[in-house]
Amino acid sequence: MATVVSPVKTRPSIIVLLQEVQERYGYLPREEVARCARAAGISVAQAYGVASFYNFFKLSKPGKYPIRVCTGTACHVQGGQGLLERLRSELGIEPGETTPDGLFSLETVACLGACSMSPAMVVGDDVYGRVTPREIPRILARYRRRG
Amino acid sequence: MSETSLHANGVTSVSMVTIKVNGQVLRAPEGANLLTVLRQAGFSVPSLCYLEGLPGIGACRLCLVEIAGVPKLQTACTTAVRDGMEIYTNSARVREARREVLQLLLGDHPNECLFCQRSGDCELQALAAEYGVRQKQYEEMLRHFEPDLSSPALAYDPEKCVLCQRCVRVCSEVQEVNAISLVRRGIKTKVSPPFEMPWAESGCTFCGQCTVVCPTGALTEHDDTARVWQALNDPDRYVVAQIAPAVRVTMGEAWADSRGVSRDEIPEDFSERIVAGLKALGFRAVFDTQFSADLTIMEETHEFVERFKRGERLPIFTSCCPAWVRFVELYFPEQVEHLSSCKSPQGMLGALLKTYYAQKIGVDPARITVVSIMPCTAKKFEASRPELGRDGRPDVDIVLTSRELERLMAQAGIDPGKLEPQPFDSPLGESTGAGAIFGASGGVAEAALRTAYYLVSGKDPAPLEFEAVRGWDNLRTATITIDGTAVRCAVVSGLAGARRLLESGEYKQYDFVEVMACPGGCVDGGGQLRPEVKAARGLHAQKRAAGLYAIDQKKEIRLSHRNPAIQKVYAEFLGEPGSSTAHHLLHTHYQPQDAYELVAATREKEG
Ligand code: SF4
Ligand code: SF4
Ligand code: SF4
Ligand code: FES
Repeated sequence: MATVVSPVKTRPSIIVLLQEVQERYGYLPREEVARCARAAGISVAQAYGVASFYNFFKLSKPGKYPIRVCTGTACHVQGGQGLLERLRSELGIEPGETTPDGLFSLETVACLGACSMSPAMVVGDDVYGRVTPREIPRILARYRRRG
Repeated sequence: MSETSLHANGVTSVSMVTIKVNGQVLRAPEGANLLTVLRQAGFSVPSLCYLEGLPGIGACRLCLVEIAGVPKLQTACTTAVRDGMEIYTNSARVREARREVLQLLLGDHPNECLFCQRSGDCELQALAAEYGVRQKQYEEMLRHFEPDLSSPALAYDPEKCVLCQRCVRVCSEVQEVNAISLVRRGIKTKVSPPFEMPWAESGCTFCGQCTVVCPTGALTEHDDTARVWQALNDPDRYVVAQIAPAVRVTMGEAWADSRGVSRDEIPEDFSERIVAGLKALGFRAVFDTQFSADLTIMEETHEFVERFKRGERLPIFTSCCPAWVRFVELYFPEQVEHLSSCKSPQGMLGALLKTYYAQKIGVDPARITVVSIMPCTAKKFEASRPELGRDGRPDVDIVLTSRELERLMAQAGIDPGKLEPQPFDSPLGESTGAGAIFGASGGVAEAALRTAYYLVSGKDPAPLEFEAVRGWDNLRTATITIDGTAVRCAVVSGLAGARRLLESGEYKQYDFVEVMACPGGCVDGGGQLRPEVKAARGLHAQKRAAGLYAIDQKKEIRLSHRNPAIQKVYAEFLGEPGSSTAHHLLHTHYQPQDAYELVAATREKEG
C-alpha cells in the first residue's frame, strides 16, 4: 500500500524533500527521513534507500569536530591518502561517518585552498598543514582532552 | 530496464499470437511475460531475480535471450510477447553472455560453498555448474561486509548477496511490510532495514518469507542445528521435541522419494517418521504441537466466548502467529488489546513440558531442553521473547525450521522416509483433527468454531466442517449462527491483507479474526522447504493444506474438547480453561513495541 504512489494526488519527490532537510540540518535526521517518506507516499526503507544512494546526502550528524581531509591534487601528491588512512584506522570510521561518541566526523574535500601547505586537513575550525600520519594521534588527543 | 513489463496474470482479454522459439512455432498471449511463456512451454531459461506472479525487473541479467532483428540480447523477464517474435534461448551467444554474467557474480562471491547452509540448494551454485563456470576470473573480493546475525530468526550475509531484490520485493510487494530495501551504491550496496539498523531492532516481523525466495545463502534462517547437537551430546540434558502440524505434510518433499511416494499426490502424514528420526538421534521423547493446538482452542475459545458475551474488546485476534503478533505490536499499537492472551501452541506445550511433564517424569525442569520443529522463522523469535518463559527460563529452548530438520537428519545420515513409523509419546502427544488444520489458513478459526459451537449450544456441530472459512483468498469472511447467535468471522493470510483489514477499520465488523502472516498460512511458512520455482505466492500451500485436511478427515476425534488427553491435563493439572494455573502457564500479554523511534512516526497514515 505504502509502495503505491497515488496516481491522482501528485506527491512531492523524495529527493527534493530530502534536500530541503539537509539544507536545514546539515544532515538527515532519522525522524525527518521518516517524515519525508510519509509526505512522498513511500516507506521509510525506500526513503533511506534513496538517501543512502547519493553521496550528497549526509546520513549521520556531523561530529563536534568535523575533520575534513584534502584530496586535491597537491595534497594527493604530498601524501593526503596516507593521512586519510591513518584517520580511518584511528577513528574506526569511514568518510561520511561519525564516531560513536559524537566527537569526530570524517569527510574528504576536493581542495581546502591550502595547497602551499599540503597535505592539509581541517579539524573543527583549526587548519593543519604539512601533516604526517604519525602526528595524527597527537592531534586527535588534543580534541579528546577538550571533549 | 526500460522495456515494458507485463505479466500474464495481469492481462485481461488477450489475443493469441504466434512466436518462434529456437525454430519451434508457439502460440502465446500477446503482451504476456516472455520468461513465463518460455518456461511454461518447457524451455529452460535461468534466472536469479524473477518471481513468478510479479513483473520482471531485469536485475540479474541471466534470462538473456536473442530476439531476431534486435541487436542487443534482451532480458526475457522484462520483455512482452509480440506477434512474430523469433527467440533463441540457447544460442552460443546467449550462453556466452550468461556465463559472463555468472563470472561477474562469482567474481565477487566468497569461496565458501563448502560451508554454506545453501550448498546443494543454491541457485547460483547450480547455474555455475550448468554453465561450466569452474574457475574464478577475478581473484580478489571487492565487497567486504559484516553479516547481520542480530536476530534469533534470520541471518543476512551481504557478501553472498547477488542483489536480486527478491527479498525486498516479497517484503514490500507481497507482505507490504516494507522492512527492507537496497541501500548505498556500487560495491557498498546491500539489503538492509532503514538506517542500516540491526535486523533485530528493525520493523521486520520475522515472517521469513524473504528467506524462502533468496536464491543464495545470503538471507537464511538463523541456523540452530549446532545447538541441538550440543544438547543431544550433553548427558545431563533431557532433550525432547515437538512437531508442528505443517511440518508433517512438507517433509515428504525431501524424503518421499526414498519411500516411492509420488510428490504429486496429497502428501502423506510424515509425523511418525519424523518421530522415528528424532528418536534415532537421541531425543528422549517427542510430543505433538497438535496436542497443544487443541489446548490453544480450549483456552482461546473460552476467552472468546467470555469476551463475546460481554461484548468486550471485540473482535478477538488470534495470537498463534508470532509474526502477526509482532506486526500488530509494531504497526497497530492501538489494536494490541484485541489480541488473545493465549500463548501460541509451541509456547503452551513448552510450558507444560517444563511443569506438568517434568513433575510426571521426576526430572528437574532446568535439565529439560525443549526443541520445536516448526515451519516458521518467527517462532525462533517468539521463543526468545522474555514473556514466553518463567524464572528467566524459556518455555522452548531451541526452534528448528523444516529446512533445519532436513539438514539435521542429513548430518546424521538418517533418511526418515526409510524408518519404521513410531507414535508420539504420551500424554502430550494425542491430538484431534481440529489441531491438525492449524497449519492451514482458516484452520484455527474452524477449530475454534467447532468448540465455540459446543460451548455456546452444548451440542457438537454437524457437520463438523466449516467450509466457509477454508479457501485461498487473502481475506475470507463468514457468519456462523450458533443457537440463533451470529458470530462474524474473518480469516486473513498474508500481512498485506492484514494491513488492509486494520487500516480500513473493516476489522471492527467482525467478532473473531484469524490472521496468519504467511500467505496461505503455516503450510507456506517462512521456514518451510523452498519450492524449486520461486514465486510471489508459494506453489505448495494448497497441496500441503490438502494433506492437513486429509489428516483431520481420518481422525476419529475431530473436536479439541473431545481430546481425552486434553481432558486429562485439565483434570490432573490445569483445572478448567481460563483457571489461574492456565493463566499463569498458558497465557501472556502483548504490548506495543517501538522497535525504532521511527515506527511511531511512520505508522501514522499520510492523509
Ligand atoms: S522476515 Fe518478513 S517482514 Fe522481515 S524482512 Fe523478511 S519478508 Fe520482510
Ligand atoms: S538477500 Fe538474497 S534475495 Fe535478497 S537481494 Fe540478496 S540474494 Fe537476493
Ligand atoms: S503463518 Fe505460520 S509459519 Fe508464517 S509466521 Fe505465522 S506462525 Fe510462522
Ligand atoms: S533479469 Fe530476468 S530473471 Fe533476472
